[in-house]
Parts: sequence; C-alpha cells; structure tokens
Amino acid sequence: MVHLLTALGYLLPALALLAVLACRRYPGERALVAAIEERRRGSLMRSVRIGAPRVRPRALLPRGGRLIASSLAVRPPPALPALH
Amino acid sequence: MPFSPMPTRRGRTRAPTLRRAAALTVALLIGSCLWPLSASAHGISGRASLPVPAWLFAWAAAIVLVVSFVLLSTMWSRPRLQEVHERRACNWPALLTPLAGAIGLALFALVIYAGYDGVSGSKENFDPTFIFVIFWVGVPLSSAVFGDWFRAFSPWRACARAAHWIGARLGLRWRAPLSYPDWLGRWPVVAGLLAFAWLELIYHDRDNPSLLASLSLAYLTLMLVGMALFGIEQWSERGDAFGGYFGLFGRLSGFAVHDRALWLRRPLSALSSYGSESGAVALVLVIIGITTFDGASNGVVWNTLQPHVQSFFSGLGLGDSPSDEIADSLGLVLAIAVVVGFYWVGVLGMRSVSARFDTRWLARSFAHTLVPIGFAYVLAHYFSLLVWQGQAIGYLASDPLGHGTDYFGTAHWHVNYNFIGSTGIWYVEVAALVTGHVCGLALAHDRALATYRSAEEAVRSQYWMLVVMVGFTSLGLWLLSAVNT
Repeated sequence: MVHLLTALGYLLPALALLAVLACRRYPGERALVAAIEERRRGSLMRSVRIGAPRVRPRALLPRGGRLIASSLAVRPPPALPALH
Repeated sequence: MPFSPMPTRRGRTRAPTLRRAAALTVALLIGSCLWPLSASAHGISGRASLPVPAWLFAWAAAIVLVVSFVLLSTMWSRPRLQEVHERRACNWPALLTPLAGAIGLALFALVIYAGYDGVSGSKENFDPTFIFVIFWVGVPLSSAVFGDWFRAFSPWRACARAAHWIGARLGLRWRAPLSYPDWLGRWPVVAGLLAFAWLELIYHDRDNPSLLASLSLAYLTLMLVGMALFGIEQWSERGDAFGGYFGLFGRLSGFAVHDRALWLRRPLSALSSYGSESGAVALVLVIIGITTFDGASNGVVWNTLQPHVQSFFSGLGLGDSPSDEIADSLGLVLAIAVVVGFYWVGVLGMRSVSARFDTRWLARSFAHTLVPIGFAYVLAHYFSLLVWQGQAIGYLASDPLGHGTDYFGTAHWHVNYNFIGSTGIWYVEVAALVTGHVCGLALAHDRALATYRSAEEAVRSQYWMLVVMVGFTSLGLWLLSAVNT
C-alpha cells in the first residue's frame, strides 16, 4: 500500500491531466488557439512587410542610340535592369 | 513534408475512442503502479541526498512540461522542423572513411581475440566492458551529439566495402540480387535490439567473453550475408540493428556526414522523415521498453512476482536458469507493452480530436517525437554506468586479455567513483528526462501544426501528447528515484 501511494505520488500529475481530458475539458484551449492565430496573423503581416520593397525600383529609360534602336527595331534590345 | 493528411472513415464517433483512451490510460497507470517499487539496475546506484522528496521532482517536471506546452503553443505558430535544411560546413577528406573503417575492424578483431584468448573474468576481460558499456551505451549517446559517426566505423560495413573494393580491383563486380522489401522496413533492427537486450538483461551467461566473441562473429556473418543480398548501404541502414539504432539517435544531432562533406542542420530536424517505414514505431517503443525493463527488473514487486512465475515454469520441468530467463523474458514483454500502451493513449486521444486520421497513421506520424524520449531514457538510465564503469576501459585497453600486459601504461588505473556523486547523477538524470520530453513535445507540436487544418485541432491533439510526455517523465523518474532515495 505504501508503495502504491509512492507510485501515485509520481503519477498523479499525469492522472490528473488525463482525468481532465477524459471529461473533454481542454483548460486554456481558447487562449492558446487565440495566441496561435494571432501569432500566425502577425507573422503573415511581417512577411508581407518584409516582402514589399521599401523603394520602388526605377526603371532605366533608354537614351541615345539605345532609345533610337528601341524605337526603330522590330525586336528591340533587352530592357536595362532596374535600379533599386 | 513526409506525411500527408489521410482521410479515414467518418462514420465513427469520437466518444468510444476517447473512452478507450481513458480506460487504457487508467489501466496502464494502475498496472505500472504495481511494477517497480525500487530499482537497483545497473546505471542507478548509491543514495542521493536530495533537498526535497523525489516525487516532487516528478511534479516539478510535469510543471516544466506544461509550461513548455503553453510556450510552444503561443510562440511556435508555424512548422519549423518538417524539412531538413543542410549547410555544407567543410569537405570530408576521402582518406578518413577507410581509416575509420580500419579502426572499426581493428577493434572488432580485438574483441574476437580477447574473447577467445583472454581470461574468462568479466572484469578483467576487455569484451564485457567494451560491448555493454562503450558500444551499447557510449556510441548511441555520442551519436546524438556528433551525428551518425558509427556508420563510418562499422566493422561489418567496412568489411563489406573492403571486399567490394578488392573484388572491383580484380574485375569481379557484385550486384545485390534482391531489393530491400518495403514490408521488412525497420523490423530487422527491432529484432536485433530485442535479441541484444535479452542477452544483456536476461541471459545468465552474458559476461562470458568467448560467448560474446562467438556472437560477434555470428553477427558479422549475418550482416555480410544481408549486405550481399540487399546491398551494403541498404542493409546497413535498415538491417543492421546497431547501425539502425545509433543512426536513429544520430538524427537528433545537428551534424551529418555524407557526399564527402560535413553538413550542419537544425538539431531534431532530421527526425521529421522518420516514422513512415514499417516497424519504425515499434523500434522507438522497443528502445524505451528495453530501458524501462532494465530499470524495473530489480524492483521489489518484480522480485516478489518473478519467483512465482519462475516456479511455474520450473514446475513444467524446466531447469532453474531457463525458467528464470523465461520469467524475465515475460517481464521484458510486459515492460514494452506498458510503453506501447502509454503511446497508444496519446494516439487514441489524438484520434478523438479529429476523425480525419486513423490511429495507425497518427502512430506513425508522431513516432519521431518519441526518439528524444528514448534518448533521455537511455541517458538517464545508463549515465552512471557510463561515467563509472566506462572508466574501466582505460586499464582494459592496456590489458585487454587480462594477462597482465601494460601496452599504454594505463593498466594500473582504477575506477574513480568520486568522479561524480549520486546526487550529481540524480540531477543529470532529471535534467536529461525533462529536456528529452520537452524536445519530444516540441516535435509533436511542430508535427501537429503541419498536420491539422485548424489551430484548435492542433492544440487539442497536443493536450494528449502532453499526457504521454508527463506520463513517461513520471515513469522514468519513478524508476530512477527508487534507488537514489
């Protein structure tokens, strides 16, 4: 009996938790779900902010001979890379 | 992502599953109450002077797990451990692989030589300490830190690769005639570990060096046949009991060696792909079950019950030793059954949360979360054995046969039991168990986020895994504390 009580002393936290779950109670569930969803929304917003460029890229306009060539050519040369 | 959601029968209601889970848990906990009341298995010895009752450590560990559960739920909102991202750290010199293989083969040859030509005393001969302490305990524990390093040192793999290389030089190319069957999965590893555990924990003549040498040779032969039939790498990974066991713990590590390079990865992330194979769940449960039996086998209840079981088999006409071994074998099976039951409680509980997944799929999907627990059990249980008995390898290396030689000038060394006290060992054991279970909880939480559609289902499923983790922690501390207090 003493040994049984000793064992129960160790296993009581697990038994208590199980008893709660067996009654279909999930204590603190709403708060945890809300925290997860809020966290997900926050990380989504952050990723949107990180993904958006801070400065709109300026496309380089062709000038000089490249402008004439672009205007006249059936197949113009490739566009210049944008500056960030 | 290794697992995809698997729709299952929707007709089932949740209530029976829940009731079954609850009934199974109560039965298991009551059953485990009747199991070990004190343990003095190897790996635990001495009396620790603790400032508070030992059971309070179990309560404190449970609180740590609950707090970890809350923090994981609130801070960890996206899966992070479902894919392995490796970064090349440096090149792995090509010469190191054959060198490591040669070292492994040399050590294997020493085991055979010491076994047949050394003295028969288990403390004077190199083999029992090397096999049961360094190889069986030291290698898996170090694999969790440094990665699967045994693969390079494996003597049977080195032997097969050397034979393959020599054959290729002579123009003889051998191709494995069979492909490894999927249904076989990890079962050879499970069978091999059970056989070794039976030898170590149950068989009476386990310390006989010549027997150990003979079994080592038999194992080498078996491995070579397997590699010849299924291919060296295929069999090394799945058919080699020790390679599979050490490799499993190697997945905990942040290091990996392949493609002639050393790679860095996020610790625990390599476990994400574990569990889909046949026998994968059984393997990790058997690892925990073996350690559980080792801790429980010297408990008061088992020592009270075991003679009755033994006398039953003696009454059937068996001798003392066989009946004793059969009784202990039943104990081993019972310990594994208890561990399986603990896990099944969690699986049935998760099944009650969502009907989209069946129990078998859930069991496989969350099996990898038990690997840190298995590691924690092994570390906690065998830590004292490793730090105390492991020192014996210092003098045994100088005198492996026990004939009085002193090759390295260390034959006069002795085991220093003051290296770490019982209280220190107890704290290491508690820390190992708690850390292992927190890692298991983190893996389970990560898998739940990747598995369940809604946050509500993910959180509810993890309440059940929390029960599993708290149960395993309490069981482990109870086993360990019996002697420490």
